[in-house]
Amino acid sequence: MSKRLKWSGFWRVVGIVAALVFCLLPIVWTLVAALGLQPDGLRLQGKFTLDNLTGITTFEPAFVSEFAYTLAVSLAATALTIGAAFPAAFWLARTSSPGVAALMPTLLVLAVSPLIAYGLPLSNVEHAAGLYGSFAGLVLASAAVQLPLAVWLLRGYLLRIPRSLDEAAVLDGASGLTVLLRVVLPVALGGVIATGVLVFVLDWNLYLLPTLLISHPPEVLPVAMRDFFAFERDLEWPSAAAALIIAVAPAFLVVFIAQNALENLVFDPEG
Amino acid sequence: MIRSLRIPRSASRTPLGWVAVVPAGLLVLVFLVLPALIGLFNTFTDSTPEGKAWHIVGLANYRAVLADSTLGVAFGNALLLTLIAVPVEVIIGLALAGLLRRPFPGRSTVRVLLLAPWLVSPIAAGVMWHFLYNSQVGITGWANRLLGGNGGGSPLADPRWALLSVALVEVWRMAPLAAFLLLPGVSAVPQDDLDQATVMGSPLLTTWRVAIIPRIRALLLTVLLLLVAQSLTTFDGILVLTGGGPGSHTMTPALYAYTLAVETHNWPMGTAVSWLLLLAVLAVGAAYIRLLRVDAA
Repeated sequence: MSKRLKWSGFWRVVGIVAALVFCLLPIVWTLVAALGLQPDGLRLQGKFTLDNLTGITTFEPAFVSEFAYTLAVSLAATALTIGAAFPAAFWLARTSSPGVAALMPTLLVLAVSPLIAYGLPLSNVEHAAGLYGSFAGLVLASAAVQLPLAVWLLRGYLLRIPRSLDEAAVLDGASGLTVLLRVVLPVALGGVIATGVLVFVLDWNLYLLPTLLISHPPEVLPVAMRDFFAFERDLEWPSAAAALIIAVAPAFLVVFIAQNALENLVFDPEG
Repeated sequence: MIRSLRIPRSASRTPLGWVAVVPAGLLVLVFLVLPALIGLFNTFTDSTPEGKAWHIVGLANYRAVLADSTLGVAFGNALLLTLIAVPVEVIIGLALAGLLRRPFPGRSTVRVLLLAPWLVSPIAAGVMWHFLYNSQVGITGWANRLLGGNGGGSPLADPRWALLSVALVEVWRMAPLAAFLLLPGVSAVPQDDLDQATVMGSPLLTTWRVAIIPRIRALLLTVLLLLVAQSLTTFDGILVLTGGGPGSHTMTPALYAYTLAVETHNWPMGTAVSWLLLLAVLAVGAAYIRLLRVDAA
């Protein structure tokens, strides 16, 4: 029995290491190239340098402004999504209205629906509303795109918070907004942060929506990256790798900072 | 006294009342539902973003796209991609969740690292894997040389390997995410249930079937919905990796709709294809809702 356990422990380690290699090798390969090194056989060739990373503006002069614009859009859209989703999720967690049970999986289906089906006409709607090409137009649309998932996730967290908590606050005479922000939010903060991080990553990585809703410049990073890649096919790998590393860095940073909150992520329709 | 208690109690169920859903509801209705319905209406007209005059053309757009051979190829590719990628993603996801089920030092770090591939945007993953499949600087070329070859060509340019190569990128991004999402459910299965299955002498697969899967059924269905919809609607990664080629070997419905509407300016046909794709996803969604309901009953 103990021998069997030892073997199962061995295979567990092998499996976990293999999974980590599978996940991380492509990213490490890219990082190594960005640092001027190249695997050759079982060794690394080349000379370590930061020139590819610092020299990114020589082949993409607008890189810094694109980075800043993407960051601004993603942060504003995430704030708007969470700001709208939190009260809605709270109402959906507390109401006894019929139909909520049917609404929740429908929200998830909405969240995974292809953006192309509403993105094309949305550009017409934004043209008609004078929002096309504007910061506000992109932020509002991005916020709406992530809302169904955010509401669905947040409700799962809020269902776990005992009703008695907010009921007691109401009995004490607190207003609705006070209950939400001063009583419920502090308890639900982990869930709000985890949801916010996932929404930020999804916003940061949006490609089709900004393609359809902005007239460049200013461009967001995924759009700039695709344009550059499509028109400069002879792009050198170390330069591309450097751009990739910088472009994924904010998502990694945010997840790294919020890893404690993400550890308790609940992705279950039953809450 | 009882009366005065009862009123705040019923109000306390929802401190802000239904007003709380108004901002979220408005955003979703104006930016998602309304455009989707306008799009649906557009598929029965010949309207374009530039043109002012338009007419109702009935089912003409649908007849045109259904007569177009590329549409069948695109849906066939999406289906094949789903049939290849999703089972692999689910099996890797479940296996990894099983391996990480019991706590060990560093488990939370490993769990966060599982998110790493998903953090790379589909566009960035496309650019990245274009080079990773390259014979000179990529992983495939490196491995080929290590085994004594000359680096070989990019599998993306090979009609036989292109779709499988795209599927591998999809699996790389989504399988670890599936494990990340499944892990809390798998960890929550009581050790007693597993011990009981082990005592009964059931091999590994039976333990999963009897003790674990029934307990995480709703979670597993939800992850399945996410994975199936993701692979049916694959767009940005393929746009960069192959652009749908070689030929139309990796064309997908979303990419085809985008190409028609944005690149060849055939707006009516593009929206018709995008609505056919939406219908396919809604059918998957309806199946998901039905299966969940069976679960609850």
